[in-house]
Amino acid sequence: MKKRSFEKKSKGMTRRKFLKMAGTAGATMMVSAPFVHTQEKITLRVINQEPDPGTTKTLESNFAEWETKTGVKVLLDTVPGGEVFPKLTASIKAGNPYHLGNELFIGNINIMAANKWIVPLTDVIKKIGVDDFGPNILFPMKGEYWWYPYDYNFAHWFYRTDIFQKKGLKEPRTWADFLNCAKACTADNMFGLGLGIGSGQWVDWLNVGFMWADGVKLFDDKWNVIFDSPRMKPKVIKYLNFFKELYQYMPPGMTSLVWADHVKLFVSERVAMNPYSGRMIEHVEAYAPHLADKVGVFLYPSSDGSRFAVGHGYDGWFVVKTKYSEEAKKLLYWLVTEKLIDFYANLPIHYQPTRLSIYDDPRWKSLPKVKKYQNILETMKGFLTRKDIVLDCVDIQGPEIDPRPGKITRKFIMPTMLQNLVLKNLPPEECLKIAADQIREVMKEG
Amino acid sequence: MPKKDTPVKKVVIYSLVILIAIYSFFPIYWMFISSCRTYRTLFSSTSLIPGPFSLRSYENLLSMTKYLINFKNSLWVAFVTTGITLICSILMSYVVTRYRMRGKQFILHSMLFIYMFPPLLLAVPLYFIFTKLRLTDTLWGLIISHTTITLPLGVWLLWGFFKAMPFELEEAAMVDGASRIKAFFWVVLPLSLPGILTVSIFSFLLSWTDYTFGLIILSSDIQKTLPIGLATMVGAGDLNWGEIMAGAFLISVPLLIMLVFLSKYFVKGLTAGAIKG
Amino acid sequence: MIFFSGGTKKIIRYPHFIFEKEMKSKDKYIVIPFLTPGVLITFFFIVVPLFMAIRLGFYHMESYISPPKFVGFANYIQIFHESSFWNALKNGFVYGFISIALQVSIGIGIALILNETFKGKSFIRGLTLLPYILPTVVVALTWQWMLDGSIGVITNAVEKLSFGKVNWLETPTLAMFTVIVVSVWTWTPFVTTCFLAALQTISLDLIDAAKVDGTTAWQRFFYITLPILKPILVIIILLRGIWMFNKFDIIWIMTKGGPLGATEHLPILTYQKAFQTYDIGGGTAVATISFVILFIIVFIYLKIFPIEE
Repeated sequence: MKKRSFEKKSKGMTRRKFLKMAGTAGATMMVSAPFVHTQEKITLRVINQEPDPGTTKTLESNFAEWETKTGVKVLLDTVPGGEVFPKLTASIKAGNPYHLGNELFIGNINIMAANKWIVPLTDVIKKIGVDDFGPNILFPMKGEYWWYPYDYNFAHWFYRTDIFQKKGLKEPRTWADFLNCAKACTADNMFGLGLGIGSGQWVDWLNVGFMWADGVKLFDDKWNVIFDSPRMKPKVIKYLNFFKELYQYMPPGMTSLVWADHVKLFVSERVAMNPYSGRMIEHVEAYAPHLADKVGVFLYPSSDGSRFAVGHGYDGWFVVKTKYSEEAKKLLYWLVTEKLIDFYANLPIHYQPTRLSIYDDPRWKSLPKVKKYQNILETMKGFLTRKDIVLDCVDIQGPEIDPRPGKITRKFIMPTMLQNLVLKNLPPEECLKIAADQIREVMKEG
Repeated sequence: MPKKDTPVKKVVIYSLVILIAIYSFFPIYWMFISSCRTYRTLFSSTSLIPGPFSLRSYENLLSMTKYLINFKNSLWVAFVTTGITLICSILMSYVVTRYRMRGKQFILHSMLFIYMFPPLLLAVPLYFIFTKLRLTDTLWGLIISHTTITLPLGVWLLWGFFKAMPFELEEAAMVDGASRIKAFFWVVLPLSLPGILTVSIFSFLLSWTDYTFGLIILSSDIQKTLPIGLATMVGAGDLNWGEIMAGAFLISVPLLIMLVFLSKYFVKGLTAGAIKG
Repeated sequence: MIFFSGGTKKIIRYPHFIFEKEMKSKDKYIVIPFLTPGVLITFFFIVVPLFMAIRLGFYHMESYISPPKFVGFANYIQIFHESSFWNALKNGFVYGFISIALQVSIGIGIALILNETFKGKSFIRGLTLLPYILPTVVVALTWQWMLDGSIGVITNAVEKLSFGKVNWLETPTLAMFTVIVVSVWTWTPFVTTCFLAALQTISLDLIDAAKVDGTTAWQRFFYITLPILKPILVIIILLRGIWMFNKFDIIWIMTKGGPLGATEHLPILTYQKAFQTYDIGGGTAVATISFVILFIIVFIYLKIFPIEE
């Protein structure tokens, strides 16, 4: 092992330099690295699934203000949509729970309430006024309100008016119409539509609206599973055949699509129509303003054109059962009263207000986007009260609010049904049977 | 006398070499040009020629995510892991090769044994222990978990290294009056710099690129390291492939620099594991 | 801690248990401090967790903070009845075997080519190491981007060659294929580097003598090169085998075990059980089974191909 002294010296320099650098860097890091949890000051951890950068900045500045006001430190963690439930579960199971958070499925909230992970917010809701809230949004369970809903997210279809005009298409009223439109639009490196079929809860929100329009229900008044009953079965089979045909007008990659990807597909002009809620408009404004006057809206048609459906969607805040629940509730109350309009201001079309008084609030009405898209907002407000459309979602099925339908979404029964249909090419009857049996298992587990 | 290669053979070899170079390098090239492409081109064209040029992806990345904090976290964890690994493995390997002791073969065979563990087999009880010690969601927890991978590797690499170093060199120093410890610090360590550098590089590499332990142990945004931060971006509402590729490129930069200047040590480390047995 | 044994205490007090008599007693002042940090870390964070993991497989726990309940072999029996376990086992073997086979054959091929003389040799050699040093997350995401269904550069190229639209990660078989391809791209450089180093030990005189004797390139490869490479080959297959069987992150980032469990192997099953459905006992049981299987395979392998020390 001969080492010439010159080599040794030059390597020594490198090594010493390296170690010195490491030492100084390490010392600097040690000063600033957060590695000890301090217990004296109250710190609240908030989990947020609104990824919009404007919203997270608003929340962060709100929390900084709260800290100066009350001395309570608030930390924000932002996760993609639908990730709150798993992350909250993880934090509870590791003994380091979040204190406050927001959720996008009432089904998840119901499961959390049944597990006794969250505290009721009845006092907060009552203080604000139960009557101020719109219909179909509070979802009380066992006489208590378990969340503060802050927006409606009705899922309906957006389409390219210019493309439809070019191809002589009209807004579809039946499934045959819809297939026709999808087929006609699948040309010139563009596709008709793109619905994600991966295992996630967006499927329960976006893909199944067609079923609701046709009057499909999962349960009867006594919680019997009627999804595959003689009355429902033909409707579901019809839907599955319809979906299978639709699949060929979708671009590749549908198993890896998640939430806002549906918006991106439309905004990047990959598809001619796609469903979502107000976020679609916000994205068009931000990323493809040249499309702003080429976007139209229609609802999920039924197979025969007799009715329409809208996917019911929502978001709300919840408070975790911890020793700081009361502190968290105080923060929540402040956020949803004084700071509410600031929150809405980031995406006023996507954050469709849940309280009727907001619609008349001058601060809300004067927001630039609210003024610009008044018509669309009127239409969306109409969904609250119209009797001619079906408003439904998987997690609110059944005679009353119950955590078990929420479990259907968490076990990804609907996505699996669609995956079996188009990836494994199982016959629709078998896909339905598997799904219905899985639903029965969930109901039995309780 | 080696025969000169025929022209045909030369052409064949050069074409194959070029193919190999493209095969190895193309994905990184694509990652880089994707990260500096305008939004519209990114989603409408797959031209192999770079451009149109835009740094919007990098701007978005740095303003919309906590990327710099992730970078700081990764750096801290990698440095400390490397430091602890070096100290422990140098000391252990030295003693194991210089002293006759029972259990020497045991220690070495147990290193191979440990290598066989699925990292997830260790991760579950480690997480359990960390929960009790309140180390979950902390960088120190991550450092400890990284050390469980880098330490066996370090001992493995340095054992071969020290074994090949003849004892006569220290003996000479001790004959001159130096104590054992002095001989260790002034003779052995300087001579083992190549080995030390190799272990440092691999420790740093393993820690910097770890995803599995980060996924399991970290959860808060301010604690995340780069790989976890990057993976979290996928599916997050407003971030697109441009930003993801920008983030991917930035993570790779330190490693690319290391490869350019220290490739010899990478090779040494890889072969030491296999050749020495 | 329940697992702390008195054995460690004994070693510190009576060093002559482990050291042989030639050692001077003052040497223990060097040896023990030198060994202690490494041994402590190894013991507390590797050995203890390992035993704990095996032990946890016999318990049922709802979370990491709830009290464990002893259930004996119930977790194991449950696992052996689950189709997801056998599916994961099969996937693990398929992924492992095919990955290693490809890594070794492509690795040797590239090494042979890189062993020839050409300009820029050391630069190209460094270049071929690139895939290996990239973080797995970078590799997974870059390939996902290149294989993107809409605008991936590879997807489009394949489409233009009129193979039609390929859904790389959509269908079960293709997903496994894709994941194997990406794994091979990433880790072949390890094989290449080792073989290259070994090839360079083959003396040129030997090759020239063989050439003079009128042997073909194939004959030289089979009768000279391969036998010399054999010991390296044995070790590489062993190390790569262990590594690929246990690899979690690349598949997780690309497919999360999907679609429909097509790429779900034992590490992913472990993660899902221990960190998603919080069947912690089940998760550790799967990991333990995985380790035992690997151990048996390695044991048999080393009996057939012993490593000469």
